[in-house]
Amino acid sequence: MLSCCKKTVTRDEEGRGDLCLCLDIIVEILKKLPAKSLVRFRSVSKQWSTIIGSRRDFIESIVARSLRQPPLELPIFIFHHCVPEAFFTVSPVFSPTPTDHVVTIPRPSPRNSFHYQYSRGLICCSSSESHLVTIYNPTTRQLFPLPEIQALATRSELSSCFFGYDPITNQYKVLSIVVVNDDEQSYHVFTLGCQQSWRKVKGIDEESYFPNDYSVCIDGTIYYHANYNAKRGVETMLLSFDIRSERFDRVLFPQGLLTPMFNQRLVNYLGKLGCIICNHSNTSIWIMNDAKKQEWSRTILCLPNYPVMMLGAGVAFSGATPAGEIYATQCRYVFEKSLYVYYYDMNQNSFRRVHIQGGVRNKTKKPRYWVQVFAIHDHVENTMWL
Amino acid sequence: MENEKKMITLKSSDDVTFEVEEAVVLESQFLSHLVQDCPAPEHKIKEVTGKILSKVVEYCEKHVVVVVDGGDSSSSSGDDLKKWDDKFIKEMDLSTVYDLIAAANYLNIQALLDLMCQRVADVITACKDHKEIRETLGIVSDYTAEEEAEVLKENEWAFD
Repeated sequence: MLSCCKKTVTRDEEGRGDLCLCLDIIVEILKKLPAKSLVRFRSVSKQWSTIIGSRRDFIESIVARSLRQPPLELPIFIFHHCVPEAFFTVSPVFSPTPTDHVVTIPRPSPRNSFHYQYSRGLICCSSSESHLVTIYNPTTRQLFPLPEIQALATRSELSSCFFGYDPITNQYKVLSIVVVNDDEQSYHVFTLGCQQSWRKVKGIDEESYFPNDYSVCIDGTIYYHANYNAKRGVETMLLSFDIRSERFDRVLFPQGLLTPMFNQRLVNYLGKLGCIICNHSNTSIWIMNDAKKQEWSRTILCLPNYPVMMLGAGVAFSGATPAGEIYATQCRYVFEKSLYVYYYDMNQNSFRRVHIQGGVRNKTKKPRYWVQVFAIHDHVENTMWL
Repeated sequence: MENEKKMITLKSSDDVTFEVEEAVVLESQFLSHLVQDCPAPEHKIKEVTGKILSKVVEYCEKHVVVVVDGGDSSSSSGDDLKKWDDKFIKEMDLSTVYDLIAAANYLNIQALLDLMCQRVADVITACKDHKEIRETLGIVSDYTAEEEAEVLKENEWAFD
């Protein structure tokens, strides 16, 4: 039973009751409304707005409701455009000249270095060259630019930004690693919804690591790889950041798994850390079967004539679906051919491609610029207001 | 051997009595505990009026899980129940819905509470804008004119 459910009803002459239901009942009623309606109903009152956008158990129930839905057959995509200004759209269909909902990146980087990370309903858009991080919620369409990191001495440093969610504390955090110079880095954390500023945190150790852009967050831990200068030359290591404790750790991995030479992408493979590696001869996925023991196994993908040739330039494996298919998306799409997402099923050893609606070959339109495609396969609705 | 069905009498705040089978009472967690802890033949429910209690009884009688011969549990089929629920809430005015929400909450009948909350959610969905919601539900806005304009602007897209 919901606690303290006293209601006050005053009736006007027509017998219509003015309702003053307790908060818990209003919450129960609002839980039954579609997410888009909830966004609209923030304007009813401050109380409703607070329930919809800030009340944790309410937001949890909306996310959980979304998770209970059958998985979408097609993902939704982030299409990053860079001309005439940096902007992106979030949609299941592509439009070369988007008109509907265009999200302009508030403080674009001078160069096209944007990167998108998705975590449980929220998108983190960052650029290694501008230190500017923006959070976007596609459910509420709120764009929330994070403040600049105050500690930065100059504007010339590069930074890497990682985004993740911890299910135990129910917190989203952004980790920014700023490469001050060859010997120095600083680590900063921003907790969504709790504070309005970055906090400096302790890094992994005295060594200097140069993080790569791609990370994955699994069960409250962000994994990323970084290069460092070893005696033998540049080497790569795998690092983890525990969102709750804000501790860094090294992750053991088999020799030769990560090298600065090849294209490697960390993925969430059925809840386990996976690493897809493309080298000259083959493409394989390493899976860390036991996070505690850090034991890995390797599967070489049976892709006849490695599909990069088949898929065309600018296509790379970029993640795994919740069903365990590995997918490849277009890193650079210049309208010269149809737009696809490619899926590989390791168990069935089968390969399929899905046409992205609206992404059609357009020979008349001369490519002026490219579009980058990020696929989201585990999208959930989240009414959190930042 | 024929099972004698145990009957229990519920008395509303305005002294209207309802004689129901024990199984019907078990739909309410509150009443289940009450009849277990206090095996009196009659129970007064001070918080619920006769008008509302009759609706509660009607609902619970329909939803009760019937134990048929051989011990199999069965209730009315899902589709039939859904149709019955739809009809049950269709003609109900909001004031009764609110009273039933309070009663279902007090008596701890989750399915009835859900049904009634869904009814209010449907009423909200049918409203054309936030002003109509306020009017219908008797909510007084605590936004200043500026704040309201701002929040409307933020969510303008959702009004399409």
